[in-house]
Order: sequence, then structure tokens, then C-alpha cells
Amino acid sequence: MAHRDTIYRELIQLDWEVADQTEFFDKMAAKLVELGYVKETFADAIKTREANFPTALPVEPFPVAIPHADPQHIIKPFIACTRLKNPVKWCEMANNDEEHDVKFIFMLGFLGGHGDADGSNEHVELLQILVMNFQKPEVMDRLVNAKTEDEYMEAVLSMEGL
Amino acid sequence: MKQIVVACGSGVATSQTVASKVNRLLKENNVPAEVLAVDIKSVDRYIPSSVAYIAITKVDKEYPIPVINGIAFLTGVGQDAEFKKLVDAVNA
Repeated sequence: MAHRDTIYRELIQLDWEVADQTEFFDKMAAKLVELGYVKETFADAIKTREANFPTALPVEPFPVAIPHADPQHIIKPFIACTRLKNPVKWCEMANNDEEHDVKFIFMLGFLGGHGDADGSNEHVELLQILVMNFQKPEVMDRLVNAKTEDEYMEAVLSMEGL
Repeated sequence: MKQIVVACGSGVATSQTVASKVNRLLKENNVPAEVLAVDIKSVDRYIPSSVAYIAITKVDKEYPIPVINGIAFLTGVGQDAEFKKLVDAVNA
């Protein structure tokens, strides 16, 4: 499956209003369960994993979070792209004591992992592509300025290499 | 060939991404080492046979080998400095 095929219009969330990270996970998990992308176990799994291994990347111009849960909770691979109305606190990957104000969230639902040679290579490439694009001001500008879900989707799909 | 170990929380994405990036850098610079991506739960088993540990999670423990910041390879920020530490560990 090509990377861009895992970006679904129905999983673009624009200007969601949430009080904190927990509310974001609850809201996102409920939507993913309803649409059949993840199992009921996903909400707890993603929250536990994030608490132990946070996922905010300290990239410029904006920090971006890439939460993901173990593959056994995923039914259908996806990338869910969210822009929050107001940023929420998010701990930095590998540096749990550092908090960032995160507005841009790319939730990754992957199947496979270690020992899954086919699946894992795809994730590797995808993550490299995303992280490279997060650091391009012109890409982030489009994400900031998108007025509709369609525009946001277009902005994401315009990322080089995707 | 010397071994470098990298581990992330779920073993799904970040460790493999960093491993592939570092392996490419090692090859390009003719450094005789290779990176092995493992699950965080089993990382301690690989420490004795490795010359460096690339961490993508917070490290609370002391390790007998150099610990390298893996996020630098993911974002590219500070990558040169971390890569130099890695090469030094391989050549030590």
C-alpha cells in the first residue's frame, strides 16, 4: 500500500478543540473505533504508550507529535492528521521532561513491526518522509493556512516523497 | 563488524527509521559497524555485544557503553555531533 493511500479524508481533523492530550486521545480513539480502523483496546494502548514513550518531535518551525500504538490494536493502517484549535502540552520523545505546545498531530496506525520485513520498511520510509517535511516552512505554512479539511488533505499530500 | 544497538518503545517505527538512517551514514563513511533495531524490553541483552546504544527513549540507567541521542538522526538536528560520537565509539 502506498503511503498516500493511508491518508483518509475522513481522518482529517481540523481545529479540534480539546483541553488536553487525554481528551484528544479519547476523541480520536472513539472516532477510529467507530470507523473501524482500530480495536476497542486502542484508547488505553495509545495512552499507556504515550505516557511511557512520548512522541513530540522538537522540530522547527513547529513541534509535531507522532503518537502510535502497538500493531495488535490496529485493524487497518492509517495516518490521522489533526490540527488543534489550541495547542496542548506534549512531552518530547526521548526527553520526557521537556514539554512542547503541540498543535499538529500525525497519529500513525501501523501493522507489523520487528520481524516483519515487508511492513517495517514501509514505516521507516514513511517516517523519514514525514519528519523531513515537518521541517519545511513552506509545508507547515500550508498546514497552518488550510481553511477546510480538503485543503488540509491537499497540503499533506503535497509533501515531497509521500 | 562492530554492533550498535537502537531501541524504541514499540519497535514499530522510530527505531527502524533511525537504524536505516545510521546504517546508511556508516556505509557512506566507511565505518565498519552495523545497527541492530530491537525492542526496548530486550535492549539490555544486546548491550554487552554492542559498542554504542542509540536511545530513542529516556534513559534512566547507566550503561557501560556510550549512549547516543537517536532523535538527532530522526530530525537531522544535531545529527553530525551524534554521528561523530558514534564513530568515536566504533573506533575506540
